[in-house]
Amino acid sequence: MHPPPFPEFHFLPLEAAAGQQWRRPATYSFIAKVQHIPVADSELLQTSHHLPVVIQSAQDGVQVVALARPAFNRSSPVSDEGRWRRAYMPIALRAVPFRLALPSGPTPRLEICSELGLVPAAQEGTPLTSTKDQLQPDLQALASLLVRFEKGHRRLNQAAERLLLAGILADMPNLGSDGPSSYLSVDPNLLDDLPSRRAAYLARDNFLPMDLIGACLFSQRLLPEPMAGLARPPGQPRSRTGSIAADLKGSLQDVVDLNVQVDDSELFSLDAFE
Amino acid sequence: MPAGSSLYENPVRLTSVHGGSRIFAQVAYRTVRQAQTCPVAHTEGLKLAALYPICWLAGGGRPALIALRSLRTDGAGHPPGIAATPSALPLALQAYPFVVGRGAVRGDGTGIMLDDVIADEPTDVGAPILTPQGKFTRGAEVRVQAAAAFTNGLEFTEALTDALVAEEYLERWQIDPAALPQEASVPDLLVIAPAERVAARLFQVVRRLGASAGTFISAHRISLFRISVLVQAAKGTDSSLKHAVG
Repeated sequence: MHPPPFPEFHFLPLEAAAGQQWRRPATYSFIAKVQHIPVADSELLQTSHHLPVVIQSAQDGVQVVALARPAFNRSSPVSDEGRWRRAYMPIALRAVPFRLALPSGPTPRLEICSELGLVPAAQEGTPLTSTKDQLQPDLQALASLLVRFEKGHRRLNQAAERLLLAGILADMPNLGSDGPSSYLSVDPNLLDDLPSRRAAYLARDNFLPMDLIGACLFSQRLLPEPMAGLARPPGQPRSRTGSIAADLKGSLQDVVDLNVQVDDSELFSLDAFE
Repeated sequence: MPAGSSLYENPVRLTSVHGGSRIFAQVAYRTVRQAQTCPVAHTEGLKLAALYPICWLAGGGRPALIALRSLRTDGAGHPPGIAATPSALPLALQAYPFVVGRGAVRGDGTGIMLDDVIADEPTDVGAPILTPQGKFTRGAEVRVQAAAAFTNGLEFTEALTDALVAEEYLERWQIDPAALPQEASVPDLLVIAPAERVAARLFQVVRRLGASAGTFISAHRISLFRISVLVQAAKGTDSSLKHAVG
């Protein structure tokens, strides 16, 4: 069972903050401290356009995450003033200063980040009125969204497990690791080696494992080059000609600097995915 | 230039007659700057998904896999800056004015086709195609290699398209007309039906054609998000035209 998002910050159950006021973060500069952001299946492809999507492997399992720290991105997702610069913001980040309390029970419970969401006494905000048994009405829609998000994140993590079982993931040693956890991504060489009759099982009941492969490979170009390297299994040649591996070698790097257009058309509204 | 019309205006077989002809930077040619669609090979899927929707052009015997570069047929509506970076162009345009496709390129240097057109916006003096000894110059060779890379991927691209058509996975791409600017003219495009409807059968496609097919399908799905950038580019051109004319 994965931990709730943003462990870098301190979260309180809502009822513990009752009587105080909350507001959205004034800036997103805090993202520099955030190791990674969990991603749901509904937003996987959209997110891969804007942030590197990788798989975190920890003691309690794997989870699919996006990397938003400026150090992990060729072009920083936040401006110097802390404004979010990408056309898409992952759901978990949009929900800040709230998150779903995990493990989730029959009724969803929210937590609030004290540093990022609680308003000092003299300033304006929105009242927190939830009790232990009753979530305040104006936060119920958010709670429902986060419950759906949590299910979508778990489905995506199951897809990641399939990729792990298929043997196509490799360590990303240059992203650093946090003790026993590390980041993995799809190795195009290992994918090439997967016989068709086995690869087909990645497209068996739903297309999510294949989409996750695509999202990992596609978004690797967003990482600064020194960080994007994959650990090679012993005995593997550096790169090979033919199919996916050769096609990707270098070719994805060229387009990263051009992908800075803001795309906020209603054709792909976020609401349609929720 | 409307979708479905060929990229090529005057394809001719390359002979020694063209030895002295000069070729120019791709962006010097109107086709490269203005073509609304451009054929792509499946190998380019993940790269081009960052720039263009990759989908199929309906019509003809077999739908053609293309990059949708603009929503307008008048040459406008291209997101700025893209055409000027050769390595970001689809292979077919990187190769231009060399012709890509079946029969277009043969390794022995014979039978190569060239679109014999004038570069209407040259950025420099260009370069000859052949050396005095009759070999390709470096600049020409790079383009011929791009053409070969496209052609090498064509067979699998067509096999994949045929498999998707046979299983009835392709459906009309319904782009909401209300979201499009007035001057937009979108050709008949096909996309893979939503994954939840076809997932069980995609198993067979991947089983026959391998992980590359699956990865390409994912790249196609990823690329469709770029439609919103084309909408912006088409609208942006509208307003700038109004200011210029008004």
